[in-house]
Amino acid sequence: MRLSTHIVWLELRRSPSRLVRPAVTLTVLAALAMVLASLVDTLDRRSTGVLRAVEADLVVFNVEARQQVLRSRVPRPATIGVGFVDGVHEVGVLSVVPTTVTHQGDQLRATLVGFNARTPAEPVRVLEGRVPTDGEPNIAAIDAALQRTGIEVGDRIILGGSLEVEVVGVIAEAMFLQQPTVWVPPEVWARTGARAFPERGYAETIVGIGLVEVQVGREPAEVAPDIVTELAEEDLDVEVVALRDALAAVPGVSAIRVTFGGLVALALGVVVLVSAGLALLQVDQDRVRNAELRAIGAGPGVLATTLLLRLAVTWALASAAGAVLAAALAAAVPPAVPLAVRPATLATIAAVLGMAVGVGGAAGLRRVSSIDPAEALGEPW
Amino acid sequence: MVTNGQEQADDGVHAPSAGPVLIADRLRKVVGDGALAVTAVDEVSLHVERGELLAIVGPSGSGKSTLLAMLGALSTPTAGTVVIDGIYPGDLEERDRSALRAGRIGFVFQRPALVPFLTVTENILLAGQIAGAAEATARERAGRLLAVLDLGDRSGHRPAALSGGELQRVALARALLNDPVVVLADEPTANLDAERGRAVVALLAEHTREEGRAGVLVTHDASVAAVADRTLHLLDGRLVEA
Repeated sequence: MRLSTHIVWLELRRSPSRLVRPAVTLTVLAALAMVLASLVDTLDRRSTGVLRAVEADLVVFNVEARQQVLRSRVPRPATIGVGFVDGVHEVGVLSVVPTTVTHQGDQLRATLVGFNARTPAEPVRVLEGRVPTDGEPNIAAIDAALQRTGIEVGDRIILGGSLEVEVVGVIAEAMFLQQPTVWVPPEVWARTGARAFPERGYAETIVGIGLVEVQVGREPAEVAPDIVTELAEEDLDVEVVALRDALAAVPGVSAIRVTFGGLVALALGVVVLVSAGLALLQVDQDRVRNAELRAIGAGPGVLATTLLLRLAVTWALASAAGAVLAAALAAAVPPAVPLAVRPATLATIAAVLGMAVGVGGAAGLRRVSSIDPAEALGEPW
Repeated sequence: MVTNGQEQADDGVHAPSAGPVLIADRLRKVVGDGALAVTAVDEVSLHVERGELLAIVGPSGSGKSTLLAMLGALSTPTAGTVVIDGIYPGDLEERDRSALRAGRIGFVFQRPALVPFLTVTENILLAGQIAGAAEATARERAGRLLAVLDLGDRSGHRPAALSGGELQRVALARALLNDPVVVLADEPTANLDAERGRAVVALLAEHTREEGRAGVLVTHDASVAAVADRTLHLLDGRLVEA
């Protein structure tokens, strides 16, 4: 290992082009994979931000809603009963409705989110100010995406063309179906929804979904059937799913994940092939020298480790450069383009890229390990 | 032990010391399978004493390099045995054979493939690092070898800046770094002009004799072989009378 590190370190210092050239090839693929992954991540988050903004273990839908937050309707009193189910720590309600937000004469589309404060339905990350509590009908919190349009704490906005509220807080980005969100008490949601869609039966006694936090030490999957049973006793057919499943059920999310996930997988597949090609090329280029090193006593492990380290350096250079390129692209595109680069996404792709390079490099490892020292004499046996 | 085809070198300069360091007994190497099988080396036996330089001469394709590969524990014979400084490489695992080569055998190749981004000194020291030699000792010895081989002013250069003769002297220094008991040279003059070729072989002979090593020089050039203490002729894999 020490000898291999020494060799690769000196190679990097004195003959960087040998490592940089393959790194450039990989950088293009790394940047592509990172941009695609950031796109899917951004689209996903902008579709499911409302559910990601809260900390709940289980989501309660009425059965007819088929796990659609927009369509779900649960009688509010029933959610109180959920709180008494064995294993449930706390329950809150959350409801959404499409609306418009008018600010200083500009109108834009948004999603109105009715929620119970101090329950699992309360958004976790408040960036500025506070969120409204029940019984505060004239105030609202907005998410960071809406703030980016120019709305600030203290501004007054009009919801649904008629209800004026004051913005008292900003929460972390929590978009729903690619739209920014306004967070209000449940009664404001009901009122706004009833005005916008009188035929849909919005009322203060109806909520969208229940959000359940289970007791510490209890498995959500064990508690979920008990909630279904409890509500069945009240003649209410519900479906209780893990938050993760509820995220996947948001319209478009599966398609986004499959489509972009496929593209990312394709890019990573190409990385595997390119890495294999680069590794094999490197082994073949250095074959005589490696055979000579084997002849003078270097074990196959030394050559394999040297190749691995070279690939690791190539991967590190490509990942770093790819991340910089992806971040630069994200900064350059207009805000409307759903491309937000998160360090976690880049780190994940870099790690997966490393695995792909490792898989591809395995072909080279096999070949370098089989180099016959007799080849140093021009003998292939 | 069969020693067919051996003869004394013309110069007769060297009197071998007691006990052969390198012994080959009825070596045979068959390459390929079935109808395609070729006997590259057939029933070759030889021995090389301490301080003796043996030349193996033969035309292209006569099996010289194949024989050298077996003598240097680079490949295993189909039949027969090799003994290097009392060790039977055929009995060793690959790992131990590598260690044997690193510690007891020095190789000089026809076209030395030195590591291009390492300096002359670093290339030489590489042999010490592979053998696990103490760095200070290896550095001190590399310095001496560089001076003796007239490479002192080239120590910091990279291989690309060296002439063919200088490259071969670096390869010789690398081969000698770990104080091997056996030095094997495969056509070391093939890519050099006559004068440089003679100089390299003279150095090889000098370091073999003065430091009591057993040297084997494979060449197709009879004038190069003349520097050796003895010469064996190989034809179609068999040792023959000159």
